[in-house]
Amino acid sequence: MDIAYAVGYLASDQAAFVTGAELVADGGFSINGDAVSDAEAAGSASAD
Amino acid sequence: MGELMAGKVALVSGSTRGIGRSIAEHLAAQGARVVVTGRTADKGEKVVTRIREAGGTAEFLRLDVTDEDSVRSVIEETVRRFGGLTTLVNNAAPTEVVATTVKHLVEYTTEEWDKILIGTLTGNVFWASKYAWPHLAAAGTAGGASIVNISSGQAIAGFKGFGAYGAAKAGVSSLTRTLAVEGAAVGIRANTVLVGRVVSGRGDSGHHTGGGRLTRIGNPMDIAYAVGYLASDQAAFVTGAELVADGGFSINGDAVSDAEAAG
Repeated sequence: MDIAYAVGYLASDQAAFVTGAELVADGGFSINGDAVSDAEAAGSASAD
Repeated sequence: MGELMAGKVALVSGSTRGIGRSIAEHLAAQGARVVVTGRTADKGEKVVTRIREAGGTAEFLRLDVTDEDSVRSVIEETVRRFGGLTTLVNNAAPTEVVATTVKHLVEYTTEEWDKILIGTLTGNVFWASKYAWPHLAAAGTAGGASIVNISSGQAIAGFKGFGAYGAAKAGVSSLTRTLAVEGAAVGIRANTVLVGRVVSGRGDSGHHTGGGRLTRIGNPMDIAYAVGYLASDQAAFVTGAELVADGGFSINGDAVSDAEAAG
């Protein structure tokens, strides 16, 4: 339903001024810089 | 009346007129209890009256986002009156200062730069988010809270004469991502609406192209609907996102070609 709601907004006339846009619905996955740091930390920890 | 914002308490900065007013009215129409804020009480009270006449709940609180004490006290007063805060819309902008300080970056004084940065970024987003945070976290842990920051095309393209404002808006977009990452553990979402050319007159300006636009000039309700979607629980999986509401301006490669052909 998270995606259905996003599509519903974009498909409706409420989004009449929105075109060519990319609405990222990923729970913040793609903007989470900490995920990279955590992965690096996990990597260096396992290397020790 | 809709119910997308039922149970929410929303604080909208800069909502005595223009886009902010439309955001406040839309959130109220969707069931949120809304705090209308700004520097001009008579304008703010008119917005409150319109919301109440439409069946909504709203109160006006005087807010100057360039004054840290004002930001803190308005948030505390919001919580005192409505029992909490679930939704923070950081919409204010120092439009008069920006409009009267159009000059090349090297001609800016530090005072002019600071005024624009505080009104757009430091006060409007940093202080507001800082003092709202514990209340948003309480709401987030209980069910859902969100911050919606209003940014601008100036955040992604350079406009001559608007260096400070562009830098501040780019900062707003960046802070959204930090707030999203830091808010995840306590149920606070943070998103940006990146606003293109919007005229504050009421009514749809009609569908037409030209001037680099794919659709038309925007109106305040276009932005209000975008904020309404992001602030609602329908967007529970959307955080750290930047929703570009600009009529396709920023993705229109043909606008460049057309300008070259015209030149």
